[in-house]
Amino acid sequence: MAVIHIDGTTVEVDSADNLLQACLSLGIDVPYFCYHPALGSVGSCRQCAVKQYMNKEDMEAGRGRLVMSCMVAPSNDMYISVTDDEAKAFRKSMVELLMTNHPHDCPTCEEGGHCHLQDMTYMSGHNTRRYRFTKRTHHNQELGPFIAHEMNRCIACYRCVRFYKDYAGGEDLGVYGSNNRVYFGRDKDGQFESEFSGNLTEVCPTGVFTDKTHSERYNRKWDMQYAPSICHGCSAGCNISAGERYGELRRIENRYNGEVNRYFLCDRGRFGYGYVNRADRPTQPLTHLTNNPVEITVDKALDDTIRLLKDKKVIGIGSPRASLETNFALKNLVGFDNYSTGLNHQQQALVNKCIEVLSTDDIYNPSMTDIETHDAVLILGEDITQTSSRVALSVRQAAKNEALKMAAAAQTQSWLAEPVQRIAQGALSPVYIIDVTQTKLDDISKVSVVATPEDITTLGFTVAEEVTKLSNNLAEIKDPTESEPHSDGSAMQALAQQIAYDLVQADKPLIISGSSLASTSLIEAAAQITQALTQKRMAVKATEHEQVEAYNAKVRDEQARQEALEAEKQNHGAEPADDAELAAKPEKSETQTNKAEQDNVERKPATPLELKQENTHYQVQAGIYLAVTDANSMGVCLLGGKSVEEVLATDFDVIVVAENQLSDAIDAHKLNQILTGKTVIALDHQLLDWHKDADILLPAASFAEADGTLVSAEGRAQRFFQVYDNNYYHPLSSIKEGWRWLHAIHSGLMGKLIDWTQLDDVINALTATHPKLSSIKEAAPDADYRISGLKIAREPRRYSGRTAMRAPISVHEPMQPKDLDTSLTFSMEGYSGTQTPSAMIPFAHSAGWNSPQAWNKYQAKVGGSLKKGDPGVRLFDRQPRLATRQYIAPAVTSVTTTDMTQGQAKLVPIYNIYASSMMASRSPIVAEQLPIAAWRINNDDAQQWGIANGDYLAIDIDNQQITLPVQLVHYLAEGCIGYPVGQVSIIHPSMPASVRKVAAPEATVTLSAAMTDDSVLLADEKNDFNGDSAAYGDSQLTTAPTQIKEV
Amino acid sequence: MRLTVSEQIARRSQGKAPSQLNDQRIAIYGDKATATSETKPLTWRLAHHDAVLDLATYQSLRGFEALKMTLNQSADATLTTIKEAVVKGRGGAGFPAGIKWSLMAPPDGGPRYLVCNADEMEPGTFKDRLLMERLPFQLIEGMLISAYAIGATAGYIFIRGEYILAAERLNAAIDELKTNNLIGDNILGSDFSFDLHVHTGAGRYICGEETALLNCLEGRRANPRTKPPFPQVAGAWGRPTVVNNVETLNNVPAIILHGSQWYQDLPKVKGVTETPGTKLFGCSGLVNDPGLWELPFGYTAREIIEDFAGGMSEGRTLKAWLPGGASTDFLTTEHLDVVMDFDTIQKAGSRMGTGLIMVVDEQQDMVPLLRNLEIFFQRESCGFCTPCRDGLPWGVKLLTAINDGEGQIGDVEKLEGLTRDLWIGKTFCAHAPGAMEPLMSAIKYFRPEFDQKIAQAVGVDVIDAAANQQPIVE
Repeated sequence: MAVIHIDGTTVEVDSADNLLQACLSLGIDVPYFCYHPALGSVGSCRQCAVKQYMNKEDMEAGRGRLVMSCMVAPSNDMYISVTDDEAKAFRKSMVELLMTNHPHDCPTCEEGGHCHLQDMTYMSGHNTRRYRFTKRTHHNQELGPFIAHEMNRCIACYRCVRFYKDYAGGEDLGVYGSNNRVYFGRDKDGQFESEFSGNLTEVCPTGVFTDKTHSERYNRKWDMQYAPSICHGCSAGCNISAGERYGELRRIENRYNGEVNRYFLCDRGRFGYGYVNRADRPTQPLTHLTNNPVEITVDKALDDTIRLLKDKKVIGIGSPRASLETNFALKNLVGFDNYSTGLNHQQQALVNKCIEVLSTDDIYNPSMTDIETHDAVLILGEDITQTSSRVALSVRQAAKNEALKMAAAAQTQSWLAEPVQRIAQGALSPVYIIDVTQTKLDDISKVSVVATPEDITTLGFTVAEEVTKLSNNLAEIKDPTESEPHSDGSAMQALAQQIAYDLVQADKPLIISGSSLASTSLIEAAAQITQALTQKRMAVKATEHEQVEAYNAKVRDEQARQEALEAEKQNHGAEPADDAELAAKPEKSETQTNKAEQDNVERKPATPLELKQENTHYQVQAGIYLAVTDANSMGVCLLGGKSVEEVLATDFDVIVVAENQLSDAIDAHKLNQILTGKTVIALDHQLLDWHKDADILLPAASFAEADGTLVSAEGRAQRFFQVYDNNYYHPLSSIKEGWRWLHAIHSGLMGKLIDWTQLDDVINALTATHPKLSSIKEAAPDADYRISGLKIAREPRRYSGRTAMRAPISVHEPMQPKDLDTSLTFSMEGYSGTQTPSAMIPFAHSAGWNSPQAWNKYQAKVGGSLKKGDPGVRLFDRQPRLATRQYIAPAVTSVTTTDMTQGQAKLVPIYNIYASSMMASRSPIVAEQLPIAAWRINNDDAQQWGIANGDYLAIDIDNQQITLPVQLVHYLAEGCIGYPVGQVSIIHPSMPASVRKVAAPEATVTLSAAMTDDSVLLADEKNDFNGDSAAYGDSQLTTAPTQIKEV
Repeated sequence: MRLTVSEQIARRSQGKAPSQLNDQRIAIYGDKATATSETKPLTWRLAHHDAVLDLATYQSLRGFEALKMTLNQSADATLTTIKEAVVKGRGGAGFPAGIKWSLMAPPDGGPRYLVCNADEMEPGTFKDRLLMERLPFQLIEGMLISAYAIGATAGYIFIRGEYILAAERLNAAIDELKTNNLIGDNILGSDFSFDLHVHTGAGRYICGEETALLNCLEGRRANPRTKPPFPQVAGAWGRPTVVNNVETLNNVPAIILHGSQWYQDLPKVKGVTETPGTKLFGCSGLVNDPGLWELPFGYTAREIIEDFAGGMSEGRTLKAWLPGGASTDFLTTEHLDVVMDFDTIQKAGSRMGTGLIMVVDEQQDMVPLLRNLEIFFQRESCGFCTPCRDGLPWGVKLLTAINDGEGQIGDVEKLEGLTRDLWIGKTFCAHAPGAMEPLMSAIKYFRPEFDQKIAQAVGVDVIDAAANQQPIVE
């Protein structure tokens, strides 16, 4: 901490921050462009100038000089002025200079109204144009369907490239040219390759990069109604701010959560919302779905459903993409024993395994922000960039810890973006990636290996073994790569030793795995490593403690001896012989990360009088992050229920299915057989293929029209809130929350009045019966919450057109809808401001701060936690802990492999950020972007099998034949064929499968041509895979990790 | 009397001044009789040869004696000698090389670099070119000694791309030295190893800024870097690096040969300044004998322009002069008796810069001159920081408008505003402040020229109005 004086006020600030961050955290408005809390300072925009004085006298004499506050570290007794005339004039001038080229197109610019440049221009006071010449102009690029490009608006703050390249590891956005013609774009037109490109729309302080999915149906920020929501795209649990106008979801923006997504989302989450707006969504209850669907009224639907359910054996299938509340309402309706989580046996076993692991003692379960603080990461069999993208972005930051350590050793602040990079020279904390295929994180990996799921599991257990074998004395553990290779060890063991070494040496190691390879053993392997690490690290810590204590005891003895000597000397006036040596001032040795420097320090004379300190950075508990598939997979499994197979195997008459695409869980053919002759009640917000088998389809609300609670992979229970009332625009619509439908049916069946009138009633009933979930109540304030007697406004104060917008429906303006379920209101009337509880902030705005930079005002410290704590309740922190147990590697059964001569195929799943998400790929704009469905085979296998890029393979599995073209990739587990998850329906890839080469289907000539193009592109972008590959293995293992890339 | 162009060229090739005015005074690089390594340490060899391009010739002229002496003493002793000599950086800033060297991070076993800044692109400056084209071995010897002093393991000569001949000659010299154990491992049998490379830039003025140079050397955009950390701590590829100008490094061998006291005593010839050593001074513009002269510090601008450059060309009178490149402030005839050294020129309101004077004669309009200079600076801006990137083009547009008769009242005030906002400490590096120096001083000394053009454009007698303190109506 540092005590500084700003404009005559003495304040305490964090000396680890920069001065700009400190000022903003204090609520002082200092304009800025290039600084971003997540990206640090570069000092390019010169907008945050303040006056700095040498001392008080200097200040009183008015002798200060201008400094860029983002580049200055606050130090004790510093005198600063933000309001100084020269500083103000300079800041005004800087905006004036930016505006010499910025077009005056605010009225037609989509950034208008949430534009940081507008805010800063106003804040700086520049209001008259003195520049009378022409503005420089640029050609724009066509960047695909997600992001629009308008370079004329660019103010060259360099934030976009710093986010895209430096933060997110993208390669296809650059800065070109020089002087005032600097150009930020791609080398040619085309869609961004990064999964995080959408963040450019928020990172850009003005309208260069804007959200094109919003352009189609555009409106100003102030004209949208928002709700604090949770992304339903995957299990990461990112917080989003969802904006609506005219009953359509119009835009997804990041909602800050200091422990989860902070400032960034992935593109699936940001752009994959279009399924909410689909025209074919059911809005009325439907019956006779097989032939000729008929709309029926809500009352009739309820009556019919109740009649169909009355005195029948009813089972219910819930869904991992539906809220806890809807799942609970279903569980309640059908009876706890007749409820299925909507996951099949295998999926459920996977999630339950994750829950078991995360509830075990000695397991540390980091949040996404916490992931960024780990300095060694092992990723086992989870392509997180595609399955839980936002987590991959956190792992990228974790890899930068090495750079931060090096910078700290060189006395360079962590926020000095360029020097940190310069000092590190690309040094990265160790990240190991073991997957079935090459991943987008390979560029930051120390080693990436592709292997079969079985081998990945075996490797995992081997790593755990190797960890256990290591010495308890850190100094004795040597880098295995520096010692002579043991000729008898296998390649896998050598790799395991290397991984074990890095994980034990690291200050904070992390294991990441998940359910995507459908292997519980793999998750156990990850858990076993984590446990072994924690135990080893405890022992290491204990050894260190003993050593330090022993050493310090000696030092204390020596000190006592010297003191006695000193006393004696004073008494006798005689000098001891070795006085000079003792008097030599020991040089203070600081913790050095640089090995060479360390050696240097060691060579210096011993410092007998200095007490040693234990390494406080060395964290005993190893972390584990387990990704699961859906937004609420964790939630439904904590709620508890049977698997889909289990519940379908019971004797039942009626089945109620809530928001579930059953074909993900059970093969369509089998499902069809089971459902024949049964009564089927479906409840969904989408019209799905299998709904043709339903007797009644009830129109459910999507996340935009409902409230509810989800539990993320981290175990964080978070509430999402209804964005708008569908009935306000569509009075005839019968869309209702899933739980409302289900409870109404339940009440009807029981002959009771409806007693769940609001969300809190459901939550109370749920928590009363499910103690594991009791803390979900705390995820957000209840419906009675008020701020100064007010509910929280969903609409900005300036929301306009309320009277006019319904005019095409009726000129009679109805009362605004009431939100009984929550403390939010469908109105601009209500509380709007920074006192909003952190879980309930609909949109970021503060007076003078219309852009997403307004999050500054909601944070306790800029870039840190929200003022009232970050949203969500971490359930696993509150679960009773299970005792640790040994996980045992499964016995290696005969490993199948693809054998083209025998026609036998071994399939492994390949995930894609868009295609593998059913809901995202139902969004029309995303649907256009899906990659072509193809089998993936590595080059070597293809050569051996005589298969070329674009050849067609037919694979028979689970009673279906799938024919797709082949796409060759550089790296994929040997002997495996990758299948595109979400684009083909393979539920159990481990089932026997046969494969044969077939002729190209006639109609797919263009497809094939497109394939070739795509693979060329892939080869292009993956050039770095070439050349530095090395076969990893002479080992005894028949299918050892096949290819390795070292960075 | 006037000479034809071919006569002038012929005279030049004989080592004489292009006009006959100077015959009695100075041959361009001194003469054999008086030029020694003690009197003209930088250029004395050129009194013997037009250029010294092979090792044998260089060695016959005391070449590598200083290196041999250096290798027999400690690195610290070498550094101390240079530090005591006080070699003010000849790239323009005048920062003492010895102090720069002593700020190197302590050795840690990793690579350390010495980079020679040979990106000589300052308008009106051509001193490094001479040294590199004609005395490539001297620069390399200077680098070897400097590298030894700072413990550098490798060196780069970052040379302006257009200096093709200089690059060729340096490369040839390096090749010859490599085969003679003067570059590479265990130089002359000592423990000292040093590798040297020539890297040609693509011709960007900003590459002369030492951190932008390092970025460019690494293959990155030539944007200046954040300081601190300084290059001595985290320079090329993040390693400790010293960047010195060509001329600075050329000073080193003679200091080793003759000692720091000799270097300190050099200006005593004139006895008017304490700035040690000699320097290549020069003059360009409409003077009779534009050229380059090695002189000890202590000469005044008048001496250089009148005695060495032979005075203004026929029919021209001096109006203003830039002491050392386009990024220094104009001085006027009032300042002609100012001694050309770092401190004195600064006191006169300009900067010594590269020490190569550019003269402006009375027939030259200041506005188009400034416009040309500012076009150069705005083009060469790297585009990183706002004031430089967007301020310089505005300045150019204002000057163009004024010059084209489209000036408006208030334009000069806008230019003055730019000189304030694009000033030291407000921009990321020294590029824009350098661009503002000539502009600021031109407005200071020649404001009426600007006002007159504006007055003509707007049809108001601006000067009269100002004198009478009458409001000017547009």
